Amino acid sequence: MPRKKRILDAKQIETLINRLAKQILRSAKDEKSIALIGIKTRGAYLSRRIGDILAQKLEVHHGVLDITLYRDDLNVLRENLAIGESEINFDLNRKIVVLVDDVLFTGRTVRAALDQILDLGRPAVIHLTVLVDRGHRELPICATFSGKKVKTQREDRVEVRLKEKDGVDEAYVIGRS
Amino acid sequence: MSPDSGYVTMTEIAQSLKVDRRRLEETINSLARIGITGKGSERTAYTIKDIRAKDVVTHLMRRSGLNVVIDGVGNVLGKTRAGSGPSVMIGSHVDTVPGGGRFDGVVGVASGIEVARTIAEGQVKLCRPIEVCAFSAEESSRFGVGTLGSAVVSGELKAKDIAQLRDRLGTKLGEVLARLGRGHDAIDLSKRQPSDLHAYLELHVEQGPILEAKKKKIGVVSAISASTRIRVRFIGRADHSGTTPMNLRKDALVAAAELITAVETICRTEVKGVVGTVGALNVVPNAMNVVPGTVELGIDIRSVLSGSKKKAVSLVLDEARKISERRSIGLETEIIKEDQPVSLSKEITSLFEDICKSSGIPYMNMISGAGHDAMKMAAITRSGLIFVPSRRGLSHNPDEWTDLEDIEIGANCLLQAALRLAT
Repeated sequence: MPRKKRILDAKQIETLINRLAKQILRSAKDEKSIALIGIKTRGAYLSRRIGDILAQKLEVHHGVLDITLYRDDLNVLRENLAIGESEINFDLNRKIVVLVDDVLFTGRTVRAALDQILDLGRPAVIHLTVLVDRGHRELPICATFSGKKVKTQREDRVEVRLKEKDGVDEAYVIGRS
Repeated sequence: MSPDSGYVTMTEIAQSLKVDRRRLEETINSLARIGITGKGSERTAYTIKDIRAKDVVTHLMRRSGLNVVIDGVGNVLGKTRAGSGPSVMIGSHVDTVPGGGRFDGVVGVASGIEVARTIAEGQVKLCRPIEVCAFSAEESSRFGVGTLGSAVVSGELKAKDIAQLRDRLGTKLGEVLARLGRGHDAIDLSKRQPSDLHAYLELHVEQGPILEAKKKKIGVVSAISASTRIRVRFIGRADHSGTTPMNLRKDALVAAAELITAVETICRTEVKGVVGTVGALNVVPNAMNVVPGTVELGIDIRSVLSGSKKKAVSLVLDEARKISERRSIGLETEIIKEDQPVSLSKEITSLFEDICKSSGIPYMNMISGAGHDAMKMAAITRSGLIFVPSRRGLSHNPDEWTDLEDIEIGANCLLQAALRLAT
C-alpha cells in the first residue's frame, strides 16, 4: 500500500491562498495592474482564485499557459501528445507578471513557462507563486511566494486537488511504499 | 484636409497612417528568435519550433484584436472584426529551411500583423475585413512540397494529395497533422472560395541581389517563375582508371560535364528569360580509380515564360540525346516536375506602383525567381507581391539581412494597399 499523508485540507488551502494574495499585493503596492498566469491545469485554477482576491485592489489580467511545446524532454512531436492552448490575450511587455503553479518540484515546468512567456513578450518582472514547494530542484529556480514547504522523498508524489477540477480542496504526499 | 469642408476626411486619415517601426521590429524579433541556432534559424515545417512560432503569431494576432482560426493544415488566420464580406488577405509564412535566415517569411507575417494594428489604432472604418495569415510549410525542405498551406487554401492540394507525403524519417504528413488534432476532413475544409476573398497581398524579402544593385527600395512583382525539373541519367561503363585506354572508355561523368556546360549555354545565350541549374550530381561508383559508370544529373529550368521554358527544356533534352549518341552511352530522362509560371494581378501591381509613385519610393517592376504563397493564392483571388532588398542577395542563409528601414517602407506600402482595398 502506498503511504499517503494529507498535508493540506480545504481550510488550510484557503488560508494559504489568502496569504499568497496578500504577499503579492504587498510586493505590488505601487502598481496599478498585474498579470497572473497560471500553468495548466491546477495552476490556472489557483491563479484565478488569487486573482479574484487581488481584483479588489488592482486591475488583474488573467492568463493560462500550456507548457507542452516548451518541455525539455520533447524534441519531436510524439504520438498522443496533447498540445493544449495557452490563453494570454493581453500585452506582456513591461507587465508585472506572477506565474502560478500548484507544486514546485524540479523547476523544469517553471523553466518551460518562463521560456514561453519570454517568447510572447518582455515583462518587467516575473514572480513565481506556488501552493506547495516540495524541494528536489534540478534547476536554479526558487519561488518568490510559496504557501507551504514540505519535506519529501525524491520519489514521492505530491498531489494537489482543487474544487474546480477534483471537487475538493486538499493536498497529499503519496510515498511509494 | 479637404479645402472646402475644413474637415479631415477618412481617406486623408488613412493616407497619413504609418506603421510603428519599433513595434514592427519587436514583432520580427519575437518570431525570428524562435529556433535560432549557431547556424541560422531552424523552424522546419510542423516541428516544435515552427509550432511555437505559430503560437506566438496567434498570441500577437489576438493581442491586436484579430479573431484567430487555425485551419486544417495549421495555417493561422487572424481576421479583423470590422468589415464584412470578402477579406483582403495579407500573408506569408514563419517556417524556415534548415539553417535559414531571420527575415524570409517572417517579414511578411510581422508586417501583416502590424498593418492590422495600425488600422485598428487609426480607427479607420473598414468596409471589408483584413485577414492576416501565416501559411504552413511554405518551404519544401521537410515534405518535398513547397507553399503547401496556401496550395490547400487555394484548393490545388487536397487531403488525399498531402496526407501520404513523407519526410526523411518516414513520418507521414497526415500523421503529423493528426497529432496536432487536424483530421482529413479538416484539411479539405481549409479550402477557401474565391467569393471569400477580395485580394491577397504579400511582402517578402527579395532573396536575390537585383534591388540592392539597382538601388531600389521596392520590387513590384508581376510574375512568379516556375520550374521544370529533369532527371537525366547517363549510363556508361565503370572501368579501371589505369588499364582502360582513353579511346575505349564510356565515361558517364564526361558526358554529364558536356551537358552541364550545354545547360549554361542554352539558358545564357540561346533562350531568353530562362535560368538553368544543374544543382545535383550523383556519380557511381564515385571512386578516384574507377571510370565513372553512371551519372545522374538533377536539372532545374525556370522562367516566367512558359514558351521559353518549354524551348529550353527541349533543347537540353536534345543535347543530352546528342551527347549519348556521340559517346555511345545509355541515356534515361525523366521530367519529375513541371509547374506553370504565374502572372500576378495587374490591378494589384498597378496599385503598388501608384503607392510607390505617390510616396516617392524608388521601385522597379520585377519577376520572382522563387516560389511564394502569392502564386498559389493567385488561383482564387487577385494576388499581389512586393519585395524589399536582401543584402548581397543572400537568403536561405544565416547571414540573410534586410535593413529595418527597408522593411518599414515595405510594410507602409502594404498598409496603403490594404487600406485602398478594404476601405
